Order: sequence, then C-alpha cells, then structure tokens
Amino acid sequence: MLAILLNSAHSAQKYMTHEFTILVSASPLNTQSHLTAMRFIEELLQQNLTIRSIFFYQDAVLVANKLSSPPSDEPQIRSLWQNLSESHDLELQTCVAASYRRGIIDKHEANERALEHFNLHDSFKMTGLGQLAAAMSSPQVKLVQFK
Amino acid sequence: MTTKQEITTNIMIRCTSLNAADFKEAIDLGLVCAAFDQQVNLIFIDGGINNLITNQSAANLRDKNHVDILKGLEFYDIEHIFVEKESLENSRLQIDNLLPNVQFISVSEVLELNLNADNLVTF
Repeated sequence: MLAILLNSAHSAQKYMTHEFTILVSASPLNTQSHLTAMRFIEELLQQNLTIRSIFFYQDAVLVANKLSSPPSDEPQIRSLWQNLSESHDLELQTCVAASYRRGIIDKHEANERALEHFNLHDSFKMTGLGQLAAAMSSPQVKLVQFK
Repeated sequence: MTTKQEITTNIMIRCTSLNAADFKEAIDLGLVCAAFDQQVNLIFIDGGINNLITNQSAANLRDKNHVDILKGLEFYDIEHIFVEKESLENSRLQIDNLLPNVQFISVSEVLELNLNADNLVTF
C-alpha cells in the first residue's frame, strides 16, 4: 500500500522550497512500495527538489540484508536502492533498533556480540531514530511515508 | 530553531496489540519525536484501539505486555492520546474497557488533526 502523507494545507508552490525526507516502512517483499518510493525520489530529483534523507524503518530494514537473494527474474530491490544512492549521492539510513530486532547486524555489533557474521550491506548506514526525528523537526522538511 | 508549538507529529496506530513490534515501534518513534520537542499526538483507529484495553494479560500468550508503556507517556511529554469514536462503536468495547487518559474524537476530527499536523506516520 502506498501512503503519501503530505500536509495538504500547503500549496504545491510551497513544496518547491521544501526538502523531502522519505520514510520507507514496508517490507522489501512488498516490492511495489519500494519501487514506488524510488520512482517518487527520481521524480523529485528530476524537478531539482532536495532529498534530505531516506530512512528505512520497521520491516523495510530487511532490504539492507546483503544475504537476501531474490530470484533473478524478480526486481532486485536492494540493488536498485544501491544504484539510486550511488547515482545521486544519497545516504540510505536504516534504523538500528529495527534492524537488530530483525537480524540485520553491522560489523561493529557483530564484533560486540561475538557473532560469526554480519549482514548489513555496504550501501546502508545504521542510524538511530533520532536522525529521522531531527529531519522531522525541520519546518522545511516534508515527510513522505511509503508503507 | 524550532519550538514545540511549531512542529506537530501525528502517529496513527491501527495495528492491534498482538502485533507488538509495530506497536512498540510506533511508540518508540513518538518518544523520540517528543524528545526533539515536537508535539506528538497518538491517534488510535480501527484495531489499534485494542492496544488501549486495560485488563490485557499477555502472560497467557507468553508474550510481554507492551500496554503498560502507555500509562506513563505524559512523563515523556506525550500528553495527547486520541481514539476515533467510530472505531470504538464498531468494536465490542466500551469506554470503560480502555485506558482513562484518552480523548474520543470523530473521523472528521481525526482528519482535521492530520491536516493541521506537520508530520503524519501510520503504523
């Protein structure tokens, strides 16, 4: 399900001065939400609008699992995010608590817990919810959620 | 520099109390936003109002009771907990089944709250 949640009290013209924070909360197995989020971001960039941050929360963090291997004839969601990130120098932030809860572990945490492996893909960065909340605290930032 | 009055974040919860991770992550986001001096409104709709039932016993399900966290939210500057009246009417619940510190509002009032919010996140 796509949920684009904007403050409708603002006119479209006002959005031209805004930056956007993209919140993805749907599982990557819900490919449509992720694909739609990427198309939305590409459209914003095409219109020279600014992406403040891209934040993955809840089941969306599963996209950062470098061990996930969807069939080759299906959309490679993680690779598509990686391409988007590299093409436009966009940071892909994953919520650390949501990630650990779902078994997405970075190298540092694997060392801390004496785990044999870590599985966070290089294209993603573990951050706290504070990063998202800070972006949401800015009056210039419009939050758009893909659920 | 923003102030508490300038940024309002609505968190709309429709997941049930048996979906503990969704509920916990909704509350976690609310707490962090409140720590950033945002005014946070928790809005419970549809099955989400089940989170507010006072006499839940998660122990019978060998689960953790996540509802207790709702009882102390005012200490973390989350003072507004709303329940959509129509969702309550469509359930078999009564007002006295729910936590006492909630406000009941109509669908149109939920819409108005969301239109006036700076941020809206649904769970």
